[in-house]
Amino acid sequence: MEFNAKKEERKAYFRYFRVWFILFAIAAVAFLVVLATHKGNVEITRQNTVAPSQRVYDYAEVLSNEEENALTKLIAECERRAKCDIILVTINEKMGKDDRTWTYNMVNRADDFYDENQFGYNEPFGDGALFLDNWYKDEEGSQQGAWLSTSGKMEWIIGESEENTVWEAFDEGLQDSAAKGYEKAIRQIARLGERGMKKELEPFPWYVVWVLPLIVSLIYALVNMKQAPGVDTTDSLTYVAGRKPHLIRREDQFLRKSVSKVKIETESSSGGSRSSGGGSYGHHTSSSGHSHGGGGHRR
Amino acid sequence: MIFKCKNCGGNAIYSPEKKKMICPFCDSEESYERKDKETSYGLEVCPECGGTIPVEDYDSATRCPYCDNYLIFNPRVEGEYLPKFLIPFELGKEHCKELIRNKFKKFTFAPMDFLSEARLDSMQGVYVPFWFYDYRTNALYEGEGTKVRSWTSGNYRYTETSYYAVVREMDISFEKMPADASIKMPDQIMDLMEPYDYGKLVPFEPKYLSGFYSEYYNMPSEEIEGRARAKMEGDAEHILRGSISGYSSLIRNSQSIRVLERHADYGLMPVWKYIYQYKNVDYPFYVNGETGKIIGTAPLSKAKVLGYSATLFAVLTGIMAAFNGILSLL
Repeated sequence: MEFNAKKEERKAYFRYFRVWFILFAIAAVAFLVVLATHKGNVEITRQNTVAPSQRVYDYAEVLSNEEENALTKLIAECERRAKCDIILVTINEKMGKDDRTWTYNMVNRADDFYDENQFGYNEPFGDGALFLDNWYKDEEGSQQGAWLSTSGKMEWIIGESEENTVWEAFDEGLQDSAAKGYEKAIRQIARLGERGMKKELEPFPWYVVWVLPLIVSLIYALVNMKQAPGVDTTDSLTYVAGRKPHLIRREDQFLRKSVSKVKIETESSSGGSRSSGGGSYGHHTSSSGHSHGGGGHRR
Repeated sequence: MIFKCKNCGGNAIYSPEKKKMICPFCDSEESYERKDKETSYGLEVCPECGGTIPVEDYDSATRCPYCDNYLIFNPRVEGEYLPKFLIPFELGKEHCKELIRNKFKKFTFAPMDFLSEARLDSMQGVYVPFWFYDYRTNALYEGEGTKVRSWTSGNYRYTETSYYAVVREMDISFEKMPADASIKMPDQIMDLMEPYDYGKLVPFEPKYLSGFYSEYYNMPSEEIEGRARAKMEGDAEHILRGSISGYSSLIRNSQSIRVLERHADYGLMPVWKYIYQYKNVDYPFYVNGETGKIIGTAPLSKAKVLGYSATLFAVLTGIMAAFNGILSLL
């Protein structure tokens, strides 16, 4: 049979790309199915009807009525954007002098408050963050500090580094007033929530759609074009009789020695440390059996 | 000279597969006779059919393009041109075709007919002339080595450097260091063909050339010895350095490689040669006729490079666009 180069070429081409063509077909069909069943941008609304509508609980009475109203309004706007509940609780209670007791009590107080009220944007005990701030101070010292209890998706969105950004925002605002500190902290929590909630569904920039394949195709072309005529498979003993040279003299004679010494520079400790207590508490289960995350910041 | 089948009078040739002389016409084995035929018109005229043979300067065996008989030119395999030994072809043409197909079948960008039967069938078995050099050498290395040891004590880090006089002396005998003596064969390619298994060497007999092409040496041993000597000296230096270990640093004071005895022999090595022509450019491939080692690069089809890369780009872009579209909709 005569060799038909063009026909063979076509056959080889389709054989070579068959898996890619199938993947492309699957992707195209999936896109068309999603497109056909897509109902437009549906706003995700709050689903939890059990939890109270109050968001600011000023038990420590550090906020004026105006400030409370302003914060309630801010939280409502932030919740709509971030799709998570945000609760602010101020207290003036003994939580323990030592860090361990303080942390233990703050965790329980924050988690229990969240669970007792069944907060959560999508469902009771669902997505949300509770900012608990304790103002207690007596002659023995301060037990002041804040705790952030996270739940649902917020538990995974706000990790230790994200918590630190909340504390930084809080500290910055607190220099002006408590209300300003809460405002900044709430805005930061909402920002983190908004970014985190979107993350899993966010498409990548459209330039990636062609830049990445272009890079892959170029690498593919270069790798497949590269070829060496052959490799040298001889070694230095290939032509030596019996592959064994005859060693006549082997000398390793000691001549002299020199010793040098260098002083080791040690780093002196510097800078003050922040007050301890708090820190990230990691993922844990509250007394009511619900999962929470979060951390604290003692001042 | 020509080898004839005693039974049918056909041209008997050496078979690498059977390792014996065969007649491809009547399938008889080891039934051959040597006929020393010559014409008064010189080597260019086939003594069998009278056709004109394209004989090149150093050809010692060739095939008549008219009657297809393999002819061996007596004056070019005798006297000063008598090879001392050769390695007969171990691999037949079919085996080599398979080796080339296996090596290049995954090379996507080669033209389609690169590995076609018709193209590969043009492969020729050639005995390439080589000079083989034996060297008995004395190699000496003298240098200074250091060993460094460090430790910490208190707030100080100590470094102790010990210096040693290092001497190595060896007698190294190199046997049959090869250098091809063919102008037509590229030196770099022939070097990459190595090594040959010298256990397969046999004393030269003209019958091994029947069925193949062959050349006699194109230049005397002295002319190309520099290549073999450079290889030998490189190997000797490597062996010397390899025998020194355990030092943090080594500085060479002196090194000598003295040749105590030297000897050169002329022999023939089997090579399958396949030249693929693509867009008026020759792409030669060489297969070691004994070991099957292949040297050569396949031609690139620019149309294939472009077509395949563009397809991959288009398909990947399509998949990513669909994926991104789904993400945008969800």
